[in-house]
Amino acid sequence: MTFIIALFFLGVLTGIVGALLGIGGGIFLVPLLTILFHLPIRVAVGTSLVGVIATSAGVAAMMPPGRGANIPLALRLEMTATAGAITGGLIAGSIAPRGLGIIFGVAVLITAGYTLYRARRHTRIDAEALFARRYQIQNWPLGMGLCFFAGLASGLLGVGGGFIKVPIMYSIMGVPLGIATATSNFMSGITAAASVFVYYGRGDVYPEIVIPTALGIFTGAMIGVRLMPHLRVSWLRLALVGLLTVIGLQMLITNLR
Amino acid sequence: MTHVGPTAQSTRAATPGQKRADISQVLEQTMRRVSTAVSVVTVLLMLTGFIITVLTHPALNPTGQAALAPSRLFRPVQEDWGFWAMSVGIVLLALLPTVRVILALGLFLRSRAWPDVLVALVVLFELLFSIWVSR
Repeated sequence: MTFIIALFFLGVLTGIVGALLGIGGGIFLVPLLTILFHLPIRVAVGTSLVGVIATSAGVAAMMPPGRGANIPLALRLEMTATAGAITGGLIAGSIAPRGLGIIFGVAVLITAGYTLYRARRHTRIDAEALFARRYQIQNWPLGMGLCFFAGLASGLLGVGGGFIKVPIMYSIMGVPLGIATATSNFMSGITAAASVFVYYGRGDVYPEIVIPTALGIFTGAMIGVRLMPHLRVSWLRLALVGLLTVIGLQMLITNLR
Repeated sequence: MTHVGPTAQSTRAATPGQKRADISQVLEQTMRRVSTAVSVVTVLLMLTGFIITVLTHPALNPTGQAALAPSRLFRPVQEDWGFWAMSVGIVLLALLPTVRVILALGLFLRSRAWPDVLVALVVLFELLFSIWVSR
């Protein structure tokens, strides 16, 4: 029973962080399930993919009016992200995992650095709003191209890819951070759905592991959405940069050893 | 492309930007309702199934049995009810993103937002392709 309770609280934590930062939580759920709970990697990935969809559903259900995802933007970016997720799933077996880990570690650290640089430049110009009503979306081709790689990461690593999509929308496309996180949550659900049935059909989804985690995630997502309006953009951005730095370093250290 | 948020409204005749804002508002409300309904049903199924399983199988083995194969979900009478409810809950949750894309497609079609219809169709095709590839 302790195992089940621990899974529930891991889910709560994932849901809170996922709702606040627009990530499904797979990027830290998979390592924690394998390291702390000693689950096989494929079972961890299967659990994580259901968890990503639970975060997406919980956030969409709880988001107050006017603070939801920009769905037309999400679907446009998802055209390339889903294509990347399918490609990633298909080529996953033929790429050395160490090489992949190093590439993504570097990519994540560059994203963290660019987010920080852009934020410093931006705050000198004007005050940022989490949920601005009017905004100009820029750099469509670059954003869509990079979303293919977010999808590729999703297919290869079994994550929602939100840790790449939020910085793409926020730093490169000029979408306000609150809308970028809500849109990323919506997108991560679709990206995870593109590969979850592969794991389900293969017998890598175990209800007695998935359900305490998913119920925890629903609870955490509700808490996260309630917390969001009380937080400042600078806190969320700092948390995003901190999370990206930890993930990038963890990927590099693990794969360079 | 300038995005106008769903709360920005005007009393003048609808411009393309306002039409887009109206679609966004309807989409947002519909997605919230569908996500809430599916989440409630999913949580109820998962919770009920989990409680039944804990009560009927006191010695839990988390990696003992994988979720039921899709074909077995249509025969609840022949299955352990707790396990069946948990498996159906997971599948319903996994289908939610595809349902949301279909909903968006329907709303775009109704609003005759043809570029958005095309985009939603591409994403839906990709999702169906991924299910087909995974067989």
